[in-house]
Amino acid sequence: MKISKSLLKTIAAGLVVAGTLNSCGIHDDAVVDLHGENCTEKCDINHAEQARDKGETSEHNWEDCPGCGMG
Amino acid sequence: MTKIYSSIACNLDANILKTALPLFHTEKVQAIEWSFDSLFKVRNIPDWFIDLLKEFGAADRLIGHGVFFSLFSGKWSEEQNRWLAHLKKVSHNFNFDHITEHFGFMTGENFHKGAPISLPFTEKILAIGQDRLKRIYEACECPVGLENLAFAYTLDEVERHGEFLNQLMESVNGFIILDLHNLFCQLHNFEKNFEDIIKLYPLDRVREIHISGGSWEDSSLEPNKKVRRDTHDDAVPLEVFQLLEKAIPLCPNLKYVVLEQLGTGLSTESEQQQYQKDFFQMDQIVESYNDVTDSKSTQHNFANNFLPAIPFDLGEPLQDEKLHQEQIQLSQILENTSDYTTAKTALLNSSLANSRWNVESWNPVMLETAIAIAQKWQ
Repeated sequence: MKISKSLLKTIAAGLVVAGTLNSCGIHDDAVVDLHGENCTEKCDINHAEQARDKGETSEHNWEDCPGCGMG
Repeated sequence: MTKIYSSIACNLDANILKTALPLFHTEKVQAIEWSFDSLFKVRNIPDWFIDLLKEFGAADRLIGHGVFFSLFSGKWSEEQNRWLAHLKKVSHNFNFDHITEHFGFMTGENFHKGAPISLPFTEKILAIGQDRLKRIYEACECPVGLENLAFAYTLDEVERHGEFLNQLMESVNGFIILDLHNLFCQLHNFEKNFEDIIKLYPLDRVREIHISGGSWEDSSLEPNKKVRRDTHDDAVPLEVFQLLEKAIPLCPNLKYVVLEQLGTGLSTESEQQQYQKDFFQMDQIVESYNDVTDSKSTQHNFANNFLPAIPFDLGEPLQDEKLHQEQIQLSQILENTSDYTTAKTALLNSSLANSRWNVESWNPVMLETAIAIAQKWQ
């Protein structure tokens, strides 16, 4: 399927900024920021930090896991 | 007549996207599959990724693949309510052509921990799966499908998997993802031929095929045996391409063939090149078939729209407390025992003994594998 050249350029640029962004890692300890149903589109609350402050998250965040059979 | 689309699993993952960009430039990627319930190490999804999803969505070529719903959990959970609410929201924001999930239940107490594990194919458990599929349809309002599972405890389970999937999907006029690497795992682990097993699947319900790579694992119980696992971290093996060539003509409602690989398996240039090579090989097989059906003006007409014929009357979610307790016990045993012998002893001393789970007949090497899977994703 043809994707616009401008979008492909934006994705390439976005990836440079995103650096090592990845969707799975058994050993990572990154924190994911979750927005809930009541959040507005521009919600700037870092819910992950909030949750961590309340002791609600573990070091490994499994929400980074990918869409696969995981087997 | 509609063609089959060569597609890739595409998440917000730098390695996947860097590897896929040259493929997007070639205009060979006909559709993308996004795991809408997997969140990422960023505060918000970047606009450019949303634009990518919307561009494929606008062309009716965006498909959604869930991971964490845990279709067969005996106890209905608040997380499942939230998952459905999330699905409803993303379905409103993006135009999915269909939504899929995995067969099995997730080990692990946390909603996002664990791995999908099989369970007994009984009427009560079938009813739970059918109830959950209806809820998924109600949330997304588009065709719903389920992926065949790679893991099985016994050959009997392998042989009955296709029919059980059929009974499940009939309830929503849904479809199945035929994951050929998952099938390859079963064929290897249980020493069966493709022809023996594929005839046991409802092939007119196959709307999507997955191909991917995996890994070999040693067994301490049978040192000469290698167990095939669906780890999605390596190139697609030749055998899976051969299965793809055999499977496509058998699936009259096939619409998408998807290449899946984890971003963690695409970190080096050679891995990225191999992935691109795999995609082109897959595309060549798909396009060869498209060309044949074009020239014969035949048969790929998608006769089934995979939408339920009548609306559902959904009450409270079905629950099975006994199943829930059994799933907790099994997860605990798989996650906490160090080896096959300890696990087997624990199973025989649990409520799973002499039950519908039929643990007495589980293949020892596959129990050993289940322990490895559960502990990997614990």
